[in-house]
Amino acid sequence: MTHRILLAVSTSRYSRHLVKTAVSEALRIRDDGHDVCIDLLIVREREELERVGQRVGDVGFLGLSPQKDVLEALGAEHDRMARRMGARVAEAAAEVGVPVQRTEVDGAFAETVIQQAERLQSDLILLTRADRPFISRILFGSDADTVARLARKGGLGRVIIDE
Amino acid sequence: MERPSPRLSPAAALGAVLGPLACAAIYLAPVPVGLTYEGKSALAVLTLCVVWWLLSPVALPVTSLVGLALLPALGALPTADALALFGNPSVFFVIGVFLVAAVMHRTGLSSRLTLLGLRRASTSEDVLCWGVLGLSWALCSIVVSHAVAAIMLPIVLQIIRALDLGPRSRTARRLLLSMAWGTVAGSNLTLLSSARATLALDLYANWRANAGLDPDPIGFVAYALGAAPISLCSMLAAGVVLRLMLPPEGHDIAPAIARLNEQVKELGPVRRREKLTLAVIAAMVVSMVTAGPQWLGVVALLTSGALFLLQVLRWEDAERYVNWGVALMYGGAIAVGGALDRTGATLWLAEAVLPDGLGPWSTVALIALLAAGLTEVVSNAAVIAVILPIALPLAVTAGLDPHLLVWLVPLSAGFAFVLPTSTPAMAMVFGTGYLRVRHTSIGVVITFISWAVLLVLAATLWPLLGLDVTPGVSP
Repeated sequence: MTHRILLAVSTSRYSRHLVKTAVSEALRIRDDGHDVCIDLLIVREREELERVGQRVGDVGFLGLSPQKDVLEALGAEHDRMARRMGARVAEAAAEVGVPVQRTEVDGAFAETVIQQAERLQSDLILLTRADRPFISRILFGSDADTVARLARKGGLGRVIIDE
Repeated sequence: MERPSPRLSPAAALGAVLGPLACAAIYLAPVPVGLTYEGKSALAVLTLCVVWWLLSPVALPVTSLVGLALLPALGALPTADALALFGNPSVFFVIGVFLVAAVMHRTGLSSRLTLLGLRRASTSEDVLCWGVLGLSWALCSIVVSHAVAAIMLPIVLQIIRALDLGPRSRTARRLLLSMAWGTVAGSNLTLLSSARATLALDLYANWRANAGLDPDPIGFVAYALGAAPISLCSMLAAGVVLRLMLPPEGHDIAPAIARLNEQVKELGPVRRREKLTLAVIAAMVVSMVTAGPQWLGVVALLTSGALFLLQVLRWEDAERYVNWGVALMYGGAIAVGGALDRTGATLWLAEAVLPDGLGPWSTVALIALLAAGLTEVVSNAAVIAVILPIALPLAVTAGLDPHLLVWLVPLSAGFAFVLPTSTPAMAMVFGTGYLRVRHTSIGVVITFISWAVLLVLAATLWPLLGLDVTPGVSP
């Protein structure tokens, strides 16, 4: 049976260390005698971008046209980042012969990760924290902690939050 | 474009409940000694507005409108007086300012100026970053800073793409922060750079009228002379700090120059409408410089009329490029500030909440720090609407010339260098995903430098311009 590692990233939730951790976890599982696959999930947080666009309108008092320009510019950059992250993970995994399956999904980070973990029956969910300030994390929670809580509640795979 | 409909954030949900509760609590509380019933009602309205401007359960203009409606509803002002405060001259000036930004964006003139400037100036990675900073700043002299940020962001991202910079690239971060901080510093350049200075002028005029003082009109040049040196120092400080904290990575910028050249080519030759726009805006600036302060709103509106008449701006463009909530936001904010003045609530509040025995300089430092801190989490227009009406009587008590608060408060409220919540430019660059929370610490450094520069120039340069901190003017 193939063990599945769900490596969840977004433009603001990505680090080289996270990729290294994913590869070393994959090697550890393979050394234990199992087949292993990394499911790279790239979450495009369109809702976050829309909030930026809305702020341009609501606080900057610019109309829909400049808002659209800003959203398109940010969206294009996030797509480029997604391609770049995908290439880096594929390269790192290819070096040690671990297969990678890549999925890109638009949505809220925590919800999307849980949905994909359920769908793929992931054994391990790997993610890093968005660098949210400590006070804000206390007040409004952290997406990484939400994923860990929901995964535990739903009996999904083990969660590693790469700090 | 379909309007995004994100869910109400936990902070906004908190605000939706907390605002009315706090307002009701103040309204129902007994009238404190020294405050009138009308003053207490005005404070209740202000509290609701502050909570809602801070936590944003509704759009900013909606808060202003609710505040305006509550003034007569809670007995702070008669209906006719409250609504009369809404129709003040600065609202019309602000409308003109945003229409100028719209035509600069729509005709592509601002993009052309930026691209040509960047292409000409860029000889190395370091100079490219300085170029982005300087052009973002300079463009704010005639275009409202939020519009400059919206114009600059796609250009800066094109440069980042051309250089194939990654998410951890220092150069990408420096380029983005140069753009954001250039517009933040530039927002303090002239009356055209942001609407908050105009708001301050109007609140000041209302306060003088209520205090029975003669009018003290402040013109375009007078404002720029006091503000521009501080804006320039903030921009230079931002450039130096960025150079030190995010030094060049040694990229060959040839691909970026090639991309800029392509973009200039895509724009084609200078079109008639760009030339007309440039001519009309030049005439506007000359008129603002030469005409008296009372004509600023009229000049801005006549400029807008000329742009429509010459067909460089159509009404559809005005609808697409401007969020007309701006007029409601500023009109409502001035009405709430005016009500606080008229009911004596500001004087009571200034005496009740601020420590006794503050000298002029400690008052200046405190007001500037308070405005700079508050602007990180609240719209800077809201900061003016909240702080200035309270600061004006406080200034008189402290023996400070209230005249200079027209510079002090909007300039300090413009030091929005830290959080993504502070201004749309910061939200944009944090929205790229390149920046982390730790980068906000660089913004803190620049805020403190700007604050210190403000105090130093207030002590050294402002007296030369007739803006002396120390001689008190008592109403």
